[in-house]
Amino acid sequence: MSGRRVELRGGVIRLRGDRISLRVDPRSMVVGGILLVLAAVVGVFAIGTGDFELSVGEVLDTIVGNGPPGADVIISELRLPRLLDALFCGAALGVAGAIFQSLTRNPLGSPDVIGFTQGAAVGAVLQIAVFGGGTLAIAGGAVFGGFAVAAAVMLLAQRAGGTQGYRIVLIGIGFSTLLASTTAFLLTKVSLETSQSARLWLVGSLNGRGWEHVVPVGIALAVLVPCALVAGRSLRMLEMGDDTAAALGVSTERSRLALVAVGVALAAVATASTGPVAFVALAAPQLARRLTGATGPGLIPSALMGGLLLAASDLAAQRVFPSTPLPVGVMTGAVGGVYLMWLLFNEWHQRRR
Amino acid sequence: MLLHRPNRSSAALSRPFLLLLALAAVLGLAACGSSDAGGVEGGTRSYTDARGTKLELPARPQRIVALSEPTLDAAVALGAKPIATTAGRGQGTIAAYLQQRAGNITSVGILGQPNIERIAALRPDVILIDGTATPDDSIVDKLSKFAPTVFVSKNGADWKQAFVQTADVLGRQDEGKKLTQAYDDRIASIRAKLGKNAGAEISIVRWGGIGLPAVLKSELAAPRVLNDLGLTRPSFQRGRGPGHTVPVSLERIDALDGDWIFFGALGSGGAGGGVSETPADVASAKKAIGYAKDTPGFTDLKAYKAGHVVPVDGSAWTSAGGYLAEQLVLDDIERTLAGGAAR
Repeated sequence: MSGRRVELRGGVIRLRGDRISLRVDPRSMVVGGILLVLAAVVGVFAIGTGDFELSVGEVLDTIVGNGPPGADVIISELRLPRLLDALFCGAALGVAGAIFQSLTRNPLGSPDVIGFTQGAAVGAVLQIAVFGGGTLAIAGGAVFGGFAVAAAVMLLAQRAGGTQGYRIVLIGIGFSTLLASTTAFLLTKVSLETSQSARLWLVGSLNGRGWEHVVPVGIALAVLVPCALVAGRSLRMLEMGDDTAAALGVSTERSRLALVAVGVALAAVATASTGPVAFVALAAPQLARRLTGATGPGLIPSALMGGLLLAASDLAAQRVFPSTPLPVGVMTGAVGGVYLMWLLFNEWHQRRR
Repeated sequence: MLLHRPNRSSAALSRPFLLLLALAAVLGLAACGSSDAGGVEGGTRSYTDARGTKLELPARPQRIVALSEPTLDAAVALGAKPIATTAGRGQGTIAAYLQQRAGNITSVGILGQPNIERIAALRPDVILIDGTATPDDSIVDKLSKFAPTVFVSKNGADWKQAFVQTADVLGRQDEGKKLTQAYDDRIASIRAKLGKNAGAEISIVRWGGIGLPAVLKSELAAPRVLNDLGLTRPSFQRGRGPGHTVPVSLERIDALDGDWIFFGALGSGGAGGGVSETPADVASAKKAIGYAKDTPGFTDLKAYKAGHVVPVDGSAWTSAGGYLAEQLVLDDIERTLAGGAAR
């Protein structure tokens, strides 16, 4: 970052006669560790501070199980699930972003740019505005919308000889615009109150998120992240181009389909939980990649970065203007955007020297 | 070349991440073990709210949090002095017409996104919500862990019924009865004074003067008050609308016309209806009428030619309904239609 490059030697861990082998990049390990520590610090602040005043001792007592009356509800029903939802959804968005940016070989290829998040938004707004559905129906609508749009984009981007990344990005941006106008149209057709609550959902908010949100996202992460890691091996090959990947023995179309399915599922589940929080899926993989200096998709650093970004943004959104807490989506744009611009500027600046 | 650098940090790092997951799961299980509805001392009664939720309410709640405009209006009208509320719909602050009456009330966020923790810190006896406040079950669910959270009325329901319900929830049935009687008396007295304005066609317009104007159909509170007074509505404004207000094309500006136009400003009036800082008081309605004059056709309306365009407080006139809001509506009508105001 400071211009001095940390050169650490990588190594390979082999187990049981080459059946399991792991390549280890120390710098990624260090960055990952730092991200974890930062996430923990954010977590301590998120759980330890808030409008309901509790001393550090009271918070600790509550976690052990003998806090003052009312405090356990504040900690265990409000602050903890909100924090975990932020970490989980951020991680899901980070991994989804890393997968799609790798697949399309384009930083713009993240699900919030190529329409998948917008698709989820249309699904959810349909539920809020037209069917008047509750929390579960909204989540279902978001997941369905995300998958429907992903299927449409992938079908349209397909052509003989394989799907090309830039086609996914272009068609996805087209879809994104189309869906944004659909959402705007739906909002004009409903009452002021409904459209206001739909708007709040569209910015992305973690207000009132409880275990009913954390559990589905947690399960999705537990299932999908290992899938992503397994599929991530072919992702590294696909990054070199379809021909090279095919030559290296990767079944390109099938791997791509599996990766898309995992990525869309992660993005849709996160969107269902928080609303379409902007920028996390776009920025987290980019930030992680620059910090680790790694060449591959870096799924785990992206997950950690995404979680940290969303949790920190939510904390800032709640505390910066205490009288009117902002929805987290407003903050992620500001926090992630400024940092990414600084990184890019730094990079270009150094390259010019 | 760079591509050959060994890198599989991801798999190696997944272990601490899984640990975190495990920790989270443990904490989650610990959290499920205890839940506590908060202490309510003697003198409770059971109550079933408009969504069929069964609740235990204090006989006469004192620390009241009203998370919507109609419930805040009702609580203030009943003399209950609510302790906290959210900003009004389409406005950055609480509804203009309620600001003075509500006194120095704590703000707990914007409509639909109340700050749960701040509400909990106020230790309320009862939390009032309705169809205009929040459709988000997950928020309602959290709120009800701290105080009985009463869903008073659905969107578009009769405001008078909602008012009676609120009085019931707050244990102020007698005050409620007195006020509804006072309302009926006032209706009768104004109706008797309408003279040649009896049965006049009243148009209600919500317009910032730029963008599209909107009119109110019959389900909101102000149109119901007009109905109580025996006044009629222009044909375009009869019947139920698809939502809160109905936007009108500038080419159909004649749909705004009537014997009288009551003209209020609220929000930016544009598509989407997000929160704006546009004030909704009478002064901004006057300003909006100034803009509206530049719209072709507005000055040709028969109400405009007759000098019958009345700037009003948009927050009260387009309110989902409240006792105090309707008093303001009646004030405006009494002053213009029943005050001997001739053509």
